[in-house]
Amino acid sequence: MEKERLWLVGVTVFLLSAPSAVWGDELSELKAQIAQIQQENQALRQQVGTLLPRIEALEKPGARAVARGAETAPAQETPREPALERELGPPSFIHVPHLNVRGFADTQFNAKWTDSEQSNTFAEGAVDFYATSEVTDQVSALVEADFNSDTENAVTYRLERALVKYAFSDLLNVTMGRMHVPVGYWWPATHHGNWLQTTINRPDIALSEGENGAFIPVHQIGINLSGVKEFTGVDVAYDAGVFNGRGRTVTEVQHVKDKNDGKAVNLRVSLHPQAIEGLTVGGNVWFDEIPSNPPTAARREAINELILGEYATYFHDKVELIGELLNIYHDDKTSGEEFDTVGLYLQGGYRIEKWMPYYRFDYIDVANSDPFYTTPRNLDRLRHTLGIRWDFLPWNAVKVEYSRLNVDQGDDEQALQANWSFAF
Amino acid sequence: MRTRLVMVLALLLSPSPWGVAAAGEVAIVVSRDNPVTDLALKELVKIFRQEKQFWAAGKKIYLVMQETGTPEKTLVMKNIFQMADEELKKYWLEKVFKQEIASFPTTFSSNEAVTRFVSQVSNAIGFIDASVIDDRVKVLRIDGKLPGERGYALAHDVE
Repeated sequence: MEKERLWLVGVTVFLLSAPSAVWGDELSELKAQIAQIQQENQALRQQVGTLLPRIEALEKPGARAVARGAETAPAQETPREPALERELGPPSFIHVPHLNVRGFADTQFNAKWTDSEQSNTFAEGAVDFYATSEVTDQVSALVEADFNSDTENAVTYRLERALVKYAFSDLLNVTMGRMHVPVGYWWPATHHGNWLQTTINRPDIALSEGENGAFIPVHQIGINLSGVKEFTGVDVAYDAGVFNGRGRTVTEVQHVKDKNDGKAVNLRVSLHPQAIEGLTVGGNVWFDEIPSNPPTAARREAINELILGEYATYFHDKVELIGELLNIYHDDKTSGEEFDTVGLYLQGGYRIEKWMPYYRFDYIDVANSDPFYTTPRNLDRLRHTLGIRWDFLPWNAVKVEYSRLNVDQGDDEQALQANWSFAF
Repeated sequence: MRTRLVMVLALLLSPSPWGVAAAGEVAIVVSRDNPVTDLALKELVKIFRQEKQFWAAGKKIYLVMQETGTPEKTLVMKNIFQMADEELKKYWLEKVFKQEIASFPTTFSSNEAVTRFVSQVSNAIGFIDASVIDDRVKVLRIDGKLPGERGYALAHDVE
């Protein structure tokens, strides 16, 4: 028993003395690690203390631009850099270009009587699509294309406009591409939007190249400057452009290759007197050299063209009045002769709630033997048009129109048309 | 105690920076960063019709509208655009088609949304109910007058 007690005391003494002897080194190592962790913790606390004010500054409104500059300067002292502001846009409204696609379309019924025949038919009108986009604050783009049909029931497709505009200010916009040239009033005002124009048909003088030939240039490729300046009593708007010019025939548009080196130039000015709301008067000058067309004997040389246009419009309250006069001078180098063609129209309408009765008088006196105006654009014409437009629903209009056309040395024509046009 | 009461009364009776806006008046607001403080009504009409698209300082004007049916829009249609809603849609459509503008103006459904947008976009201009204006935006004088002042152009009783 005594032996057992001695053995137990010996074991206890051994156990109590063992830690310091066996684990002493490990404890020292642990103490060193704890000291290191404490040092790192202290360093992190210091870093957090430094960063917190910066984080608070970043969370304040309008501080996004500061975030980019924080590496080089104290956040609260860094002004918002204009370059970065442009890049980022306003704090919550970053500009992303959107594509807006819209269109016009119309469908109609036509009944026609001429001296020699009569016809009636339903007809698909044009389906005109256009897309616009504000690429930046100052740059915008527009593309317009339409699907149409010819007299042989074939569907046609045409790129009408494709242009880009840079707006420097109200005084200066620069537009480049394929556009409706600002000669006269009609085309720059209504383009191909049937719903936008009061009448079913365009004035005869404003027929386009694709409609069996144009009296005046309509589709042109080039560059146009435009703007508006306010003076005392009057606002003055201008267009000044350089274009490829007219093609060799009344149907050709020089949208890829100019057949001569000479460029057409055009200047149009319009005045808006502030005293008479809704009134605009304007005019334009167009110079061009129409390229020769050698296969035709009478077109071996170029033709110099000068177009002088004058117009007045009045849109106010219920009244709509448009008058336009165009003088087209051709100096033919082949024959050495000069030709003078005159075209005009007068149109008036009066709105009675959703209805607008209207009338238009068209007149064109084509210079005899002008080598540029080939059939059917070589015939004098006079037309009366009487119609009514009914805007029965938003974006929709029904127009019914009667017209009587007298063609010099050709068939006279009467027509009754009903047209439904809409925008979408 | 009496001094404090007098001060409170004086504060309440003193004119606010934009006068005492009558109910139904519309305030024309821009960003506080915009240096413009005053516009002639004629100029405002041109801006809203997008006939004038640049501030004098050269920045593009960003017009924001309110949705049809709000009292503010109704007043603006009557006193600035002077046309019906359908006519205005046609007007914008023509402008887009002529590439005079690239799209219809941005439209918001509340005074708060307009205020928030205008406060953060330095070249923006919009309109809100004059009774809810606060210091996030700057209220423009129109023909020298602020909302609440006699003869202010965007009040219900002014043609």
